Amino acid sequence: MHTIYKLLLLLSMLSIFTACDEKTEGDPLVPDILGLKAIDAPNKSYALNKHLLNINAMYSSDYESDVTEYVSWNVSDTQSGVMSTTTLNEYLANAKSGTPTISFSYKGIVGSVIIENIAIRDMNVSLSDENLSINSTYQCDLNATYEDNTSSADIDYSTPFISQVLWESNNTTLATVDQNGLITTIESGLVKITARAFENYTIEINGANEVNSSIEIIISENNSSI
Amino acid sequence: MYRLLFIIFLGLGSAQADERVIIGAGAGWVNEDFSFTNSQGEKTVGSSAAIENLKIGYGDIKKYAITFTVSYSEYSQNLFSLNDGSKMNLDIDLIKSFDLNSSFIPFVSMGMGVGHMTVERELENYVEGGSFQVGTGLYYQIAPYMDLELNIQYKWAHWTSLDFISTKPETSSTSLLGTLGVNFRF
Repeated sequence: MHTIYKLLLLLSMLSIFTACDEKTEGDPLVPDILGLKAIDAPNKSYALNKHLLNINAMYSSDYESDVTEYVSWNVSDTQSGVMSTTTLNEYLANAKSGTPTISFSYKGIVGSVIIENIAIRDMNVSLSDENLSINSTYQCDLNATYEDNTSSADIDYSTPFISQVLWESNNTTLATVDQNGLITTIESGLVKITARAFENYTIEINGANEVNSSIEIIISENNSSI
Repeated sequence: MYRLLFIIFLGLGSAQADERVIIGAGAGWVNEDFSFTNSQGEKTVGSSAAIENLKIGYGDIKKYAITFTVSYSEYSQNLFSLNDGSKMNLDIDLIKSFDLNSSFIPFVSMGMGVGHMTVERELENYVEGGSFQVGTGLYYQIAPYMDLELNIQYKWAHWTSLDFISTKPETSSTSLLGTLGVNFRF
């Protein structure tokens, strides 16, 4: 039995010896995720403009990788901004002024960015042609002024501003208008062309549920006038 | 009563000839080279750890045996996170021994196993791996019911992929283990 005791003693000593190995400091072999950040997100946006937000994951070994397609999104104030339902990472500046927080997350890792949104104060439709005749096309102009007095003409829109609104003709037998503000005259008569932004919006903007502007045109057989 | 149990015990031992249940314990050292590949390339680091194990098996010390081994180790440096925990392994090995009509009985072994290590990563709190191993060693038979075991194993392991969001890089490792233990055979 002495042999057994000696063996057990030997094993115990070996265990104690091996247990004395202490862990060294330093970075682990495998880097870890440090967080998520938005790349090139604007600080300020103007209503009806769109921005593509790209998200990078940051890793502990000083590199980053694009993870835009893997994150889910949330906007704190959807009256000031929303994420597109059709394009993965497209942010749409909405009707109301505000400072929404746009959050992006992946399995509990959350990043965020704040984009100040400037609302439209008023909008104006105009037409350069004074003489409108039937069976012709005429291009409308559309300008907006924002609450910080910036003109839409001075803003670099990702999609042309004129196509961001809904165009309507009140009498499509006389003239139609497409979504780029191009009027096609058909018959002579009086027609009202309207540009609407945020139509049927759930909040009031300057006392209404949308921002709009109209222009009345008179179409004649040979020529017409505004 | 104790005398009766002792006689039954001896009787069982002789009735089963040399095939016996094996219970053993051991301790030793492992050197493991980890290799991690991601978009930044391949990175390799070597780490060492003390290892302690308990085993249960069945077989003949001079012929064949099968053993199940649970081992515990804690590496000398962090591999998967800033605070790696201990690693547990469960291995099954088939052992072929060679009877040289001596107290020293050499053997070779092969087997496979699974490993589990606690980590503190952003998206994982453990990693798991599968392994395949071959080994060789020597029994020193002290008595019919007890022997010393010197064992050297070479192990290939593949670890579960890690979530890097856009990629799922994997880690593999090769390790050399040396253990000294004692086995009791009933």
